[in-house]
Amino acid sequence: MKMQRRTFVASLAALPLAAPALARGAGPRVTVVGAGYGGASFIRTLRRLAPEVEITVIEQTPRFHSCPFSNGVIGGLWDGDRISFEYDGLASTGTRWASGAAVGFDPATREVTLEGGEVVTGDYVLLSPGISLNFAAIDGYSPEAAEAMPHAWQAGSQTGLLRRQLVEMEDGGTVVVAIPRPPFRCPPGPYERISLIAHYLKAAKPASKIIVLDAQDGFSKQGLFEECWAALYPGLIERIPGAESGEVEAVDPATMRVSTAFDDITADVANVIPPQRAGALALDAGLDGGIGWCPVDPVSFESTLAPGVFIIGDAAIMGEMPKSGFSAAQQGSACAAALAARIAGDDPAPRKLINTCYSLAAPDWGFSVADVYAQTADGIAAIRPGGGTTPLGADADTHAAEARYANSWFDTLTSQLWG
Amino acid sequence: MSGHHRLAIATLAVALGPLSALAGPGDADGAALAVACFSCHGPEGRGGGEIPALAGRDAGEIARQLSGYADGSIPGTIMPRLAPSYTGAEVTALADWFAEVAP
Repeated sequence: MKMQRRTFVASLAALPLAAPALARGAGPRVTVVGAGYGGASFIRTLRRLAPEVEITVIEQTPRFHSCPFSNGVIGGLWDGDRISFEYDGLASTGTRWASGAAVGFDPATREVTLEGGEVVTGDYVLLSPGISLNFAAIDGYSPEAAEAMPHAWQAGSQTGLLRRQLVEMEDGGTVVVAIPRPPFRCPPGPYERISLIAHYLKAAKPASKIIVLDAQDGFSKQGLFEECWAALYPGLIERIPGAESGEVEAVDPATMRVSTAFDDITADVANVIPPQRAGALALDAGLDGGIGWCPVDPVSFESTLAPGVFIIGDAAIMGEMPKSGFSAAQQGSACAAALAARIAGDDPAPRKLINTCYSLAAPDWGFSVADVYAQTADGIAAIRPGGGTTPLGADADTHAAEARYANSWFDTLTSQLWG
Repeated sequence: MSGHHRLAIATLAVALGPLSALAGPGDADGAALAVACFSCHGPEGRGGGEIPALAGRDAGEIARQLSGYADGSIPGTIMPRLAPSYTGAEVTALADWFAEVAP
């Protein structure tokens, strides 16, 4: 591995513009917390643009489990291996990997404290910590309760648990899916999940039903989902929107009861997705300014509260860009370019960023929202006209093509980030 | 941007090829724009399964395709929604950048 990096550095050194930077010797130290879609993309891009930088990575999980495509595991389209990736490929890009999870961060000194007590310092820090789940927002819900009523909103063991519960459920069972108020990770994600659970139940347990208890009234790609549900899963999905007291207020894992202000439902399988906030490390450090999500400069993604600290992905407030893995990866490469410019003494240049969120409502029924976003000093906004979702009433060939593209996108991006 | 500056950058951009993060023709930065495409079209646009490769294709062909998506004359799934958000100069810069990448 070291050879590859040396070769790459040597080839860059041959370029006239890169030579002065390399001549300085050891470059600045950058600490990266979180090697998901945002962090991995940042690392790859920074390594390419500023090879002199020393990168230390802090990642709490031994393997990466992707939230994108995890609904396919739950619906039985593929097994958990499809969404599970080693960090070896990323680690072999000439980064130092700290051992263990980050348990504390001091924005003033940019010191990250690990659970073993080690302290990692850097000239710059990139936080891509994802979300934290606000269990306390639902009475009776907790990490322990989630072992009986999985959220499966952070992929991994929870994903497998929800799949097993569906497989073990008897035909005629009731599956409850509880959806929180926005903002949350992956706006169309809960509805894709409902679709793929319905796909599984329709084939394997057709007397079963899905009750959706939704804190939201309208939702992402609503017309496209409802079009598919009417065509493929009639009578299988019953949704209670927020205006009809759909929001879940309490759960009891002992009796599998899920309660709204209006009703109590006993579930055979309960998928309880709680409200969300920025990842705990950012929250505990006060980088959300008390509002749950972290404000950042829209061009550099530097925290507006802590100089030298950059925050990307679901944890940050990114204007009109949704909280998606696709968005986080785009922000990761843009943030790396901004930091490389800063290190070189230049101002970061605004970019155009893309988000294309695919949803699979069945294995061969895909659709998407696709937008280009402009970074400006005022924020990140979708460029209009242009952008938007797959049109309603699209034919089967279009949905089948979008499903193939979704699969291609996932395999292409994940192989670039962790391959 | 002054004429001298533009000429210097153009010269460097030719010298450095696609690795460069410098501006290409028409002031649009093809390299910076192209990064956003890699998530689907593969690293440096070298292809991603069902999604076509862009690397090494004729610049005029790429530009015509993007313009066709933007004005609705070429049908598609994703690209008719993305293409209208790029200016003519950006389309040219993207096409030129991908054309220079070895497939």
